[in-house]
Amino acid sequence: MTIKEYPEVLLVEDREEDATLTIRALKKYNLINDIKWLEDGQYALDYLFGTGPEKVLQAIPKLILLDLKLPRVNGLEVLEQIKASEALRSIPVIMMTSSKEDVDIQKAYQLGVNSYIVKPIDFMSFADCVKQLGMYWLMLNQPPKPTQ
Amino acid sequence: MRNCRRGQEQYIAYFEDNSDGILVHDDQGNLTDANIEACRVLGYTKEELLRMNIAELEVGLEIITTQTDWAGFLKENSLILQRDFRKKDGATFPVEIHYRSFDKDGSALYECTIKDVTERNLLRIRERNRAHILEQLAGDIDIFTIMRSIVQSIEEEDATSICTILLYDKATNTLGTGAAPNMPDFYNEAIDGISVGDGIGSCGSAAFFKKLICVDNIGTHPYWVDFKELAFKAGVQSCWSQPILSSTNEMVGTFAIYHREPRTPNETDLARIAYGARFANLAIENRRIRAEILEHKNHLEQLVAERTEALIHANEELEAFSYSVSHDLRAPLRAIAGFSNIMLEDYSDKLDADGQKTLNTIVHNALRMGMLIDDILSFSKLSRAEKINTSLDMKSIFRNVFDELIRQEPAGHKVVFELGELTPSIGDQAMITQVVTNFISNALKYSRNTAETKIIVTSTIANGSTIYAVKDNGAGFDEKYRNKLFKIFSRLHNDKEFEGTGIGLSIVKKVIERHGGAVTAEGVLGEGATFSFSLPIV
Repeated sequence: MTIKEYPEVLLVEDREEDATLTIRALKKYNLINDIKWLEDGQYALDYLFGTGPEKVLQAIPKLILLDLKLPRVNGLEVLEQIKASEALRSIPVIMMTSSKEDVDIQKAYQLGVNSYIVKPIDFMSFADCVKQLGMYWLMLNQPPKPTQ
Repeated sequence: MRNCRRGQEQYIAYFEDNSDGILVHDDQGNLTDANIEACRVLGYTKEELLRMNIAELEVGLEIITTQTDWAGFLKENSLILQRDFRKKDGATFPVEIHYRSFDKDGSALYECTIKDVTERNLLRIRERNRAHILEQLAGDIDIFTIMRSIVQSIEEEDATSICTILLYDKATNTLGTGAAPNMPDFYNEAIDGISVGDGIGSCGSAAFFKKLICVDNIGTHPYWVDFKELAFKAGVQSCWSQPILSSTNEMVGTFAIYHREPRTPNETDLARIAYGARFANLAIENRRIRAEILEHKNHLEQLVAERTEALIHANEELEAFSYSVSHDLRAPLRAIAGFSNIMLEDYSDKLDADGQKTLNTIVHNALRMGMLIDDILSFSKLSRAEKINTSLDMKSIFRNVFDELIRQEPAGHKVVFELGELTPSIGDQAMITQVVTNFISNALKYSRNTAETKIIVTSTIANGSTIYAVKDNGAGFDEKYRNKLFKIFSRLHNDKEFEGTGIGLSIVKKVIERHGGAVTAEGVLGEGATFSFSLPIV
């Protein structure tokens, strides 16, 4: 299978405003050059698994930022499939969501999420949060070497 | 002589007028005297009795031929015996004999006073049986077993009788077998389900007329024309039937006494049949009420289950509601705050001071709304959250909360924190930590304008609970608004002075009340406040 040259970050977020704010924060601190934004869970799965009508080639991002509430396939379902896949399992997945419901947090960790972040309403805090996330996962953290 | 005569007259009067029968016999047992009552009771004339031996009257003693050594038998001057006596007509009856020996003209005579104890024995039987049946009633014994006990208890009182209880079925207006342990099965099966009506045996008629029907002779009575052969086959010839009526005069069934020969009831029989019917009703009514109570209980349990389910459902809805509030209401706020900030960052050169202030107001209010949502959610979650009790090290809770909160204080705010030795308690760690957080953060917030802030935490024990008090020297409050402090959304300061949502203290109140404690507040405007909460002593 042809592996598409990966984007550094895959952002799965249905709200354009949140996506804009996230991308803005990441770019502001020069943390990324390349980000792919998808609006729902099904697109994300199609993209990651190379399935779907557009026959997108499989892409392996360095980091996945995943919203919880998504149209069609929700964030937890996407997470479950990623963590069940031999090829995708090692990609760090960060849940970024508005709700801090205990059940969601528990479920996400059971499914193997790498971080669970409640998005602050305050823009400064939000930007700071995204900055720290990017710094940690894209710069500090050492991912495993790709097997192939 | 005169004395002696008087004594003799007295004895005669005592002897003849005695309400008990008195017999006198010699040391051979031969009767030498009998009073009027003894003759009446035994059915013999005095002449007949004087030719008889006492042994001939006593059931089971006829065969004794040897003379009893009465003197030896009566070592003591008096003796009481329980015996069965036989009347002239052959009927037997239980007697209590009081023996007394006396001397007459140099030879020993024996006087026996005979008391007929039939009644007394019957009463004893009835008392014993009644106690037994009442015990059954008090226990879990089923009504058919109890009715059988009632029937058998009456049969024990009248040894030649056969008793039955039939139960009335209102829907079909018929009688069905309740208890008839000594009637042959074929009879019970034939009777089961007979209609209630004028002339349908004794029981059908008794139920129909709601009154006692006594058929003395089944063979000749019109009520029994259709059932005569059946009755003869079962070996009964008379049937007295008493309707069993409830306390509200409803037909319950019939209580019947049968005999193997034609027979007219005497007063004792009538009293007995009435007693049987009354007792049967007592038992049946008791069991009916019990069944009703049980049904009621089951109904209530079902109702509780239904309500619980509805409550669970409502709770789930509330959960779903708060979930969506938590998620969906925050997202637009983030956008409002975020994009206002973008505007401030990217277009600062195009905005004058007024425009920037306006945007800042938008951001500020979005954040405030976010806080409100968070507080409302934690308030509503509190009532649903399960309270998990553990032992609480109150001192370390206060210490940790303070250390956490002081880090977020503005650098210029100098605070002296005096933490006394606090009594430990029991409660939900997370909830109590939230209470402490509210108290300490309030103390910090409202003393932000105080030059030398001092927060003192103490605990005291009073009236079975531990009271934890947080005293500050901050803004305080006017005592006349004290009752508004713990009300949700009510505030004593505006946001310019001190920010807040007005939910914090109502959360505190709710948590402490769930723990069985109470919250209080004291304050002097401009001098400080003391907020206290109590928890039950460990």
